[in-house]
Amino acid sequence: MTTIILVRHGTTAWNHERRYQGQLDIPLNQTGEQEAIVVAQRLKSEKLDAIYSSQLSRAARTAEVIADGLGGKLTVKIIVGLQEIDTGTWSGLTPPEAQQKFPEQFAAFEKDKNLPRGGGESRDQLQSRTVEAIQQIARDYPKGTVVAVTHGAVIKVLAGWALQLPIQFQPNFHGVVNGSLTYIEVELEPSRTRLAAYNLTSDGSSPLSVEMSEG
Amino acid sequence: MLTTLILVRHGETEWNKARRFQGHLDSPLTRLGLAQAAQAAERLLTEQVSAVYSSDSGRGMQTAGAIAKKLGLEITSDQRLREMDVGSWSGLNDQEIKATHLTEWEAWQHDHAMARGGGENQLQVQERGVAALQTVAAAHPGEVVVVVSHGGTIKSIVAWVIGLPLECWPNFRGPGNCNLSYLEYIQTTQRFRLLNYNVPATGVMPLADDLFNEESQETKG
Repeated sequence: MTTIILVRHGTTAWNHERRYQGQLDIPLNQTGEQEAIVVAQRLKSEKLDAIYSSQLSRAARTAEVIADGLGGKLTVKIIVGLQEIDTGTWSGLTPPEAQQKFPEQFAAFEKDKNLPRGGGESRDQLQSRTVEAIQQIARDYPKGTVVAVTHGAVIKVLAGWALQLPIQFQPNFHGVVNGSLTYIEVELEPSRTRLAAYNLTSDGSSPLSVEMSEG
Repeated sequence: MLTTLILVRHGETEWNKARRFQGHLDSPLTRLGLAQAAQAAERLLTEQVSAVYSSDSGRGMQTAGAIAKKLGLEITSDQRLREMDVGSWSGLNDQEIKATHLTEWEAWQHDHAMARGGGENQLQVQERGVAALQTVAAAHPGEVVVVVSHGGTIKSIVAWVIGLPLECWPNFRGPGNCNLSYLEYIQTTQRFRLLNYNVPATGVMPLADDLFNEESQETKG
């Protein structure tokens, strides 16, 4: 069995402004750098075998800070399959801007959250490519504990996948906060998955005090 | 308006430690269990909690007592928040159940949803647990409320919130002793959402060596 600790990247300027980031590459801001240091401290109590990350710099930088904070023994392995959901032409917009620019698409998405946004990816598509990435990690470390630094939408679909929860129920999950930890357990033969913990704040603070943001 | 419900599993008990099923029977908190309850209480001081509800089982009341005292609140007990009733299995460990209820034990290995020892099945626990949750949510619009309950009951409530089909329950790890799970209730739409699951009050991460083998442990209380 592989235990995979899904870490959401630290805060970026666009998280702060509540803009869809999708696959645009927006760096961590100062808050985000700090959050990554706190995540590293929290992860000191785990015996980690590897650190993986999406290639987008907000994730890769979070992963590097974690690797440094843990003593620099592990190097960050990039997996492109863990990058954020593609939000196409919505990327860079705030929800009100997207609503104004693409009123029909926006209304349709509000009714069916599995629709692709701005010509990007649907949740089904996101789930299949991220599950492939997770299965690769499980093959690499069949008995290990690994960290995978990734993105909000990715963590939500992977938590749903670990539960085998039908995709239409995913709105019943709140999104995860920047720098949070979500634990999933994956076994390939026989195929079994489990969700162990969801959206743990990295500094142990109240989950209620943290403001939510997209992407 | 948003109501927050914080579900707290009771602290470790003597029978948790001895790996005995508790069900509607009870055993007291261990020293570790008392320390866990104190840590949960400390953690909950940082929230604006306005009410504390608890299962009426002793281990629930003992945990809720530590929390309510710290927060300066009274406890409202509700027997619908009790653990799953495991009837004649209550108080026994795995070996003793195999010795006295072998056929039922073997059937349970393939069907975790069945009632044991003449007690309740998972959906019955879910039905009463969710009814209790709805009562609490309706009584405290816009507030933050603590609900102390049990491993099997909390798991069944959260499974209902996220719409998890019964056959997927083995994919969902039960909460650790005194770990917290946060639910949000939106009064206008009357819908619940899962905010955080299995948050360790102690700051210790919820890891174990072989988690798949501890499945039966959850319903032990």
